[in-house]
Amino acid sequence: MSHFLSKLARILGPRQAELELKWLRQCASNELQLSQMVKRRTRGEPLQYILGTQPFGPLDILVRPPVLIPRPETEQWTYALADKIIHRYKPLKDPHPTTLTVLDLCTGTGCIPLLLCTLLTPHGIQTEAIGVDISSAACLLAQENIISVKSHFPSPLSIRILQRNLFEPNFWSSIRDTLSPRSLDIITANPPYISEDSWRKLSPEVKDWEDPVALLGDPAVENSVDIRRGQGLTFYQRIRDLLLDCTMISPCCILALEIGEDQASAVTSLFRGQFHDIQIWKDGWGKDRAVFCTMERN
Amino acid sequence: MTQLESDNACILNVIKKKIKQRTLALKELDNQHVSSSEQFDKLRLTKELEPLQIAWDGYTSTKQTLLETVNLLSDPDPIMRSLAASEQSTLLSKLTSDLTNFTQLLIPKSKTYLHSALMELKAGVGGDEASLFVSDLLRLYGRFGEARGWQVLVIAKEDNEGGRGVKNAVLEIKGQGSYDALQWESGVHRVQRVPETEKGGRVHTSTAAVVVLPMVEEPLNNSPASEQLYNPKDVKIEVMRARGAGGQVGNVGLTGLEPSVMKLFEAQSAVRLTHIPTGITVSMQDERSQHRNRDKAFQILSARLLHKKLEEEMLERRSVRRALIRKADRSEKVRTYNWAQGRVTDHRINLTVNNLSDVMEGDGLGHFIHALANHHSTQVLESLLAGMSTVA
Repeated sequence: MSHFLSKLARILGPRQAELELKWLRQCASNELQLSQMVKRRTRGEPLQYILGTQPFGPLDILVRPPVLIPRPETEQWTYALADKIIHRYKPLKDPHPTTLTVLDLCTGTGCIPLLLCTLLTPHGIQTEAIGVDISSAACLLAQENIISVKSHFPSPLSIRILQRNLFEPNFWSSIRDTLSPRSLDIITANPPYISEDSWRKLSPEVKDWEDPVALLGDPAVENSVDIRRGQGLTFYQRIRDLLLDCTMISPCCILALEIGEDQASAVTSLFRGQFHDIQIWKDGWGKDRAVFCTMERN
Repeated sequence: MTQLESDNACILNVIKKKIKQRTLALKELDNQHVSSSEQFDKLRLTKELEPLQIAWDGYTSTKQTLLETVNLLSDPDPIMRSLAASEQSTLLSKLTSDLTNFTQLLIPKSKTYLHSALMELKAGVGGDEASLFVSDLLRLYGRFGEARGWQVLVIAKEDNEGGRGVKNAVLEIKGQGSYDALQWESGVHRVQRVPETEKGGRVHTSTAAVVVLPMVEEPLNNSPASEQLYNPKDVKIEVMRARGAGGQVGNVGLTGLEPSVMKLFEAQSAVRLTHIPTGITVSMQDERSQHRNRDKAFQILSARLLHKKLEEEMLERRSVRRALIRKADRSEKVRTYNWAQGRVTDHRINLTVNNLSDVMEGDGLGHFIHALANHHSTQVLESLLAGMSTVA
């Protein structure tokens, strides 16, 4: 057995070690580089950071510390959302191609709007997307991903990335210029949702490498008073308040939010009232993973 | 020549009957105007048999010339005799090639000649040694494919724990005709040798199972071929293994348990498909992308379903024409590789090649494949003959 394999097997088990070594080997240009990669992996660095990419649907998303690595669950619900959108907008048979405006909050690598655009275009649905993130590292990486996806999938891809803070009081006016004169048809978000309790138990592979700002659901926010601390729900509450306050929303705007495994009932109760057709979507592992709903403008 | 004709009596009989059929049909067509569907059938029959007629005409004229040359062999003029002798040998070799040509014309064109091959190799009885044998076979087929200009790709491979050999593997051999060539490899292959792992020098017998499937290209692009093979609603798609809390909490491999426990969850991109009507399941976890694992799994599922369909079609045809064709059962022992005696024996056609290293390292496998294909052709011919004599 190669000594790389035995090193990896010690922390990963034989089967996973064999697979990961294969992927590392495909990526490394020589044995020296491979040995450095194996060393990084045995120190607990996420495989995706070492390889520099993570598959997301047909896309290869560029990843780099500390920006959150796209998860397979997110990929799954983005497919489900694309189906929902196709189901809703395709039968219109509009003589003009439909163009939908998408806003992705906490966009990170930009994987959600990138995949959504890629999946919708073949169905004659064009998208104009805006991705928003508080982190400059994430915004920069998302820009790189747009360029990278455009070079692999030559399609009319229109995505803008803005560095904005969701908790700024003038959030909407700060993106109005980019959005106008359109109004939002789809809003997506994979906001940070890990509670303080879960944070303490988090694996070092996640905790030591990925940005806590992209993970912790209850950031210290100056202006908030009535936030339920400790359950990782702050962002959902903020998103609800933002949407109720927004004037740039199309009729029947679709909202899709990723959630933590036991947050479904808390999140759905936050959105009950102004939002309809609330659906809890289960991921491939049977966990509540996303909430889909429709917002009616009065 | 008489020898040649008696050797190929079976083929010649079939051809004569077919030619008779055609002549009869032509005569009937001459007498009437083409109108009814029955007439069209006859017209099509004559058209289909036209190449055979041309070949047959060529054969009979060569035979005629040959008979004439025989008389000249006893000519008083020595120059004439030697001319006749050289003429005779040319004509004989032409007759032989005409006869092989007949075989090709008679055998219905393979339905699968366009398909690439998907080979599944599994270690059978014999522990580590069986796994070592699988890695030998993997190399053998890889080299065989590459030598023929086909594209060889190991789609999935599970190494034997402890790093000795390969427990199972899926090999894609892409290229026109690769399925037709390799289909004969399906079955149980047996190895008899002193394993590398054996210190006592005893000869062990181990086995590996090979399944060769016809590959369906681009299964997810809704190609008509794959559409007929399965209804997407009948396929259950599952992602495999536990993944802790998942989402932001979990990343590949090491998942959110106690920080001190670097506990492994298997690659969560693993996918399992179950085709509910047939119960066929396919798992795939070799790619990082769940998307690509899914595509590959669907490709293998399509190949298995196509294989099943072809087998069913063959069974149907068999019962119709009392065919003599016997296709190897998956569990049937098809070949033995004996290291001690340096031989490889194919049990289906009783063919032994006494050059093991040529099979393992050279192009020896080609002999078997060629012989098996010929054997198959002969059986198809025999069944054609049997079918015709019952009709006649």
